[in-house]
Amino acid sequence: MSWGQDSQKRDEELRAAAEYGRRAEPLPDIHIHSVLTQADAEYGEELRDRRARQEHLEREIVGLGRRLSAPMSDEEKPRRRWFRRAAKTGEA
Amino acid sequence: MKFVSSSLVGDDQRHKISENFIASQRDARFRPFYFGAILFTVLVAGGALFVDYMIVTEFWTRALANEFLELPGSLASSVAFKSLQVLFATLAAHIFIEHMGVFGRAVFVRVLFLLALTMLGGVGLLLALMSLPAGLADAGLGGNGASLGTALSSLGIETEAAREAAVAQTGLDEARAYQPVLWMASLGVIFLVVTGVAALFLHYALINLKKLFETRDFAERKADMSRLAALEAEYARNREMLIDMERMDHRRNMLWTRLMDSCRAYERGLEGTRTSYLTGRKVRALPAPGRKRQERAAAEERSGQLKACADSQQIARYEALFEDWWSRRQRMSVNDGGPREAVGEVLPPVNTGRRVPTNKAAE
Repeated sequence: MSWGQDSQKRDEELRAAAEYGRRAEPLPDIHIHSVLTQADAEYGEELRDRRARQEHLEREIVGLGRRLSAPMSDEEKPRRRWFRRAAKTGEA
Repeated sequence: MKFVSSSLVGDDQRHKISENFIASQRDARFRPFYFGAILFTVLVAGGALFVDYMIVTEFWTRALANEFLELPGSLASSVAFKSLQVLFATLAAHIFIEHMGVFGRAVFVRVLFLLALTMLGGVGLLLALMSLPAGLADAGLGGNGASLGTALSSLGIETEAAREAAVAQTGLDEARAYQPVLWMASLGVIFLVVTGVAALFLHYALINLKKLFETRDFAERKADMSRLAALEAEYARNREMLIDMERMDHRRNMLWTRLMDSCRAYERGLEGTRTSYLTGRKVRALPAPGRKRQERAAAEERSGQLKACADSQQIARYEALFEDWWSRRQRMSVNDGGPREAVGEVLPPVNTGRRVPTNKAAE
């Protein structure tokens, strides 16, 4: 959900503004301040969510990329000679 | 300034991913082959086990049977159990192979081949002895000539054939002394060959089974790659969005837009009131005495309200209020210890979208 799409709060805000219009009252300063404060808080929240999501995505992508680029099955197995133990001691 | 690619997956890594995907796809195509190979190798291993079982059964039957080659009832079932040792012998050989290295396995296969050659040579020799030409058989190995020589020697006449037969008989007697050892050795060779083949085919069956399971990797890899592509797309979108959202002017614009949305809703509400006011004024066609004045007063009051509303809708007023609110917000942010959202902090610092200075002199 992108910023400003929180429909419930937004609807309430718009309904309140429309209600002032229907009662033929000027839009009060307090309402404008309230709208801006509310919008600013939502903006900050959206920013934090996106940052967190971005960090999560980064971890996911790096992990997935590492997993998909890992060598497949037997590619990296050391060559054994007579028996496994012999190969290990040979390497050491 | 030069913009470096924002992808978290490097070119080398992406190349490796692509290579792995192609290899996995190629493996997946071999799925029917692996399945067929498993069937074939299991059948061969089963056949070898059966042959081993029959050989060992025969061994135990001969070992435990009486002079009429009959088994006592209590021993008949034990022969079956004793013969099942071939299963464990095969498993032991299989484990032995599994613990071998490449070189050891190659030696094992060659030894097995030599034993198989020996076995075939033995079988060939037996067949050759069984189908010797008549003349050679007459030389004294139980043929017609031998019986004639025996008859003549019983009469005290020693023939050349009888002498040769006696020599051959001595050789056979010496060979018979080693017969149990030779018999056991032959049995051992056959047993080793068949067990070795069974163990090897069991090994191949397991390898193919493993490969068959590994072919499932392709489906998972495909899904993972789709997921990676989706995540990267989302990452790029999110990144672009964050770059915008981090900017203060963008924030200001968005808040202003939000305020204007609210103002439009107010305007719609006010428009409805205006319309209803005008409609209501037209309907009242027959005013009562004194009502006209009241209506005029109400209308004046109403138009005063509407004028006040219209005055309040001046864009300059909204701008002033917005600037006031914005400056207050900035002051509060500073008092709180700095900007609430530090510019530039949003971008993931690791390997992503770095802006690196270019050498202007080089350019």
